[in-house]
Amino acid sequence: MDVSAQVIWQGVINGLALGWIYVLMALGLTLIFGIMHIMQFAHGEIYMLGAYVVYYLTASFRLPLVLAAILGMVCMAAAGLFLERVLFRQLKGDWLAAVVAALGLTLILQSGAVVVFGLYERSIPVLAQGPLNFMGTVVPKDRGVAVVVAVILSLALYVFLKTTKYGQAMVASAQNPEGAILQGIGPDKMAALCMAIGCALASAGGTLAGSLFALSPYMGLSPLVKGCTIIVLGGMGSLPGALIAGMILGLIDGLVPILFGHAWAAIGPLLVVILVLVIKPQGLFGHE
Amino acid sequence: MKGTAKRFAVVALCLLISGFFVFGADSPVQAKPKTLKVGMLMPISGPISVVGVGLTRAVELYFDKVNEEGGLQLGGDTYMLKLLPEDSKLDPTASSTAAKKLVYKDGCKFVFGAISPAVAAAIYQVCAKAKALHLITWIDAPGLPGDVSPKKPYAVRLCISSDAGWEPDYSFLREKFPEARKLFIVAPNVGLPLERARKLAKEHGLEVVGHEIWDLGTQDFLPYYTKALAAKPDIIQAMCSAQAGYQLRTARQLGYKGVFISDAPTGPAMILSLVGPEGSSDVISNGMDMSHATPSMKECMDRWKKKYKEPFFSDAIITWSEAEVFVQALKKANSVEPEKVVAAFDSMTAPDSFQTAFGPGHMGGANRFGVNRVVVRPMPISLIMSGKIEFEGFRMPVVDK
Amino acid sequence: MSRKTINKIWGWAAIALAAIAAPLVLGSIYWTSVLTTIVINVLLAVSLRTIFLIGEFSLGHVGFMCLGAYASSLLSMKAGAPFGLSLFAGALMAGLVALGLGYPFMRVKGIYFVILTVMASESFRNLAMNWEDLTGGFGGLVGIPAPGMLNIPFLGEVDFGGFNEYYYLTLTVVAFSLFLIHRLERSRLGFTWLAIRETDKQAAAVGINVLRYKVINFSIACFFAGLGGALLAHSEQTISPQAGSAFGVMTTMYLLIYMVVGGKSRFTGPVCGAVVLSLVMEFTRPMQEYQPMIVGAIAIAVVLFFPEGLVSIPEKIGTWFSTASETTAEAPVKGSAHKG
Repeated sequence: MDVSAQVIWQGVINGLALGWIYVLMALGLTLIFGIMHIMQFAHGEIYMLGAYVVYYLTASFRLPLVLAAILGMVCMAAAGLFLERVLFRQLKGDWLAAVVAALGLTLILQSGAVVVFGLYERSIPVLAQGPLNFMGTVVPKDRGVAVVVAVILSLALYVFLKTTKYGQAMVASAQNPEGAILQGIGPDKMAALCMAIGCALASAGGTLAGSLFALSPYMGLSPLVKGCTIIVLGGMGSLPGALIAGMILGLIDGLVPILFGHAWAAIGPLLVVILVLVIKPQGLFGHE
Repeated sequence: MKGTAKRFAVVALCLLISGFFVFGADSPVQAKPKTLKVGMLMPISGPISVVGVGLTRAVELYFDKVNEEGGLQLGGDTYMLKLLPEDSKLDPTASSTAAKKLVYKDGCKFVFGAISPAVAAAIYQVCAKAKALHLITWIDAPGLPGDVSPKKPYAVRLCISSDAGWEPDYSFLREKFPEARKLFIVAPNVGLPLERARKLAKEHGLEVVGHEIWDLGTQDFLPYYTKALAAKPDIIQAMCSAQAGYQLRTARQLGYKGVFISDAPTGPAMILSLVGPEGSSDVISNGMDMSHATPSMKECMDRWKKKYKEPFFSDAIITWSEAEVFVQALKKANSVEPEKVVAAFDSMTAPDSFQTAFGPGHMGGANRFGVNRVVVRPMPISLIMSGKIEFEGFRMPVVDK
Repeated sequence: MSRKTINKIWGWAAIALAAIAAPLVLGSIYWTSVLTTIVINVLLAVSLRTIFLIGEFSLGHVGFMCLGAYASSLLSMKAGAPFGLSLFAGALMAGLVALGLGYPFMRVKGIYFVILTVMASESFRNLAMNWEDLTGGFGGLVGIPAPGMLNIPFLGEVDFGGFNEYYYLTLTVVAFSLFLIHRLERSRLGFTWLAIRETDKQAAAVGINVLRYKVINFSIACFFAGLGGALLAHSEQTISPQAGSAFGVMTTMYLLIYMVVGGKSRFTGPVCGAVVLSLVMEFTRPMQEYQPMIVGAIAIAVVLFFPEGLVSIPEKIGTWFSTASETTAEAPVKGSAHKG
């Protein structure tokens, strides 16, 4: 392989940049799974809807991007609350039913998006123009901005969980549902909160991806699979696990195609996950 | 009834109800002027549904036009054209089922389709078995199993593949950018004949310094363009991609300043809108600049605006013009029998045998494919400089080499 | 034989009669090919449910379909193997791979297992897409041979490439497979599986090698998935590894929905679900864009209001009219000697 160090370094940066967007998805998924014990397979559609909401806010209402993005997050958080209340609360305990419901939801949202939004590709205004010189490599500026935003959001989540009462209760609830009740916060409220936060994060991820690439009603499926891979690798319910696994997966995605070609890039993540799970079935940071 | 018996009743009931539907749905309807049913398989759902729907609508619009003018007089009967679109889902298995429906249930003798070569091959299997004519509407790469061949009496290709534009593109490139020599190719994984590109490039004094192949469904072109720029090319050619705009944007964001060629029919206006004026310089495109549309294309646009609410999708003129050719072949054959229509196509090999929206054309391809079953018609070339589109004109593609 | 068994036999006989008569009654090549697909879907849904018997579920069923389809197609296309052999070999291939993967996979539980199966199936599909020399890469395989002529007593030379003939062939294969699966479920092997589902640790405590039984179950289920894939390949005579194809994630979702909507507790559940939903999808062909929405809405409605699936509806109606005593006999599968 006559691949220069320059290209490898570029691959690393590219991969990590993308990885952070998937981390936003994974954080939401792992929160929801850790606390509600439901695999929210429709999360990809929340990601997609968040992107479309922001698109409409910027295109039709001419709002500035940052404001639109925040509104998008609020909007999807509200949607998450609605879904939790109406759908997932009824299905507590029957996780197969919850999965099917999430799948049904995915189908509805996806085809609904096609019908409502139409098929034309759209793009959210770019985050930034032009190239950026980062440690000797050229990176498109908009990717840099995306990474920064994702990191800020993740840090914000971390701070929330560590310092606020609700945050600590959520962490406790993930480990031990009764413990959270002792704190005076009911499981339903926990579920609502984590759903809201998870959906807001997914919406942010969708917005970032929508400005880097294109919007399409089907854009949510692939990040969902990547998000699931991340939480399996990192361990269900573990936030640091999601971060580290996200970085690892990003690295794999960025480097393997360059070094070994795309065939290996397709199976790479599976092999890594199998390897990790064989050694440690709960994932890198998971707990049983 | 007991539980077990109840259960079988449910299933049997379902089967019965379905039988009901079938008999209801199949009740024959006698129409007064005859209807010529033409099927069309396009990806109506899925990631490139914009293209699928757009191309389908164009044919529908053309059929509307023909019907408004009184239909077609063939073999003593008057025929109204009716288009039956089905979803190919870009999946050969689903397309095979849909094609069977069109051919066996609806009785179509002509089927348009598709976009992916695998789907085209699947459609042909069904058509051949039923002796219906498969009209290939698009092919990413020629010569693949979905394409025409002497062994396939029921396949005619109505479109030009994007590789036919390489030769006129390279000539144009040498005219406008005589200094540029090093060419890098970025192509999708559909089986494009890259060896042929290398040969053609060499003939025009260009040197291919590398190529990158990406899988369909790729949204993120950064890794490919990173490697492309590492080879320091003067020219990057994005082959056969409706996402040429994104590719160009990626290249410019990485600091690429050279020439960019897009040989797909994506219009230069679309590329411009995606990339913005700063990035749009030194771009050659085989898409049609609609501000220089021919009268036929204008008619397509007008009809579209009257009938559909979405903005006009400029790739649609391709199938509009294919429908034009199809109707002309029907008229020449003076029949609705597939074999006679194929014979009509075979006979239209002289230049200017028929009119298309792009200009006069004829059937060709015998040298390369063994039969003259490929439409040869002019291709548009435009140049984008400093955010402005300069329409260069039409050039004849090279289909036979 | 008890009254219940007699009812059951009549029930199955009625279904069999309907299935056999259907192509002749409907009289259209197109409907025959639809029926063939429905029958294959039934096999896939029922084999998916088999995994559910050990308390897991797999979202990677299509990956094994893909393996079976490609193995069978390549054998008959490139090696010229006769149909019966390639069909069986394809299914066997899927089963063996499942056996191999089963050992690492079955060590993880619940949701981890699910995600692993999804990743595995996507990887198989991507492998098919990228291993061009073997699998024809992106374009997939076209021109897969249909089964050839066969001399059958009483019927003479039968060309199984024809639509009706292939339907009956598929029907026979699937019926036989369903019979096998049904028998397995009621056998000691099946009860062991149920025991494992109900309580993992206690089963281990009585000396059952939990891992081994789980892996066996997974292999058998995936064997039939491979069989279904191979049948599909020879029916449509073309397969493709693209994301939107029959081997993509969407199909897995649909299979799971067939199973749960039909009813996951009983053997007839997936049969009913596959038939009903396949028909719904066929009838909604004119409204293509709304098709996923309709299926999704049905899925959510069933999950919220009929958690036991469609097969439980006649009983629910029955409970309205009849007294409680009749219904206690119809408790869903719980590891006891229940015939359902």
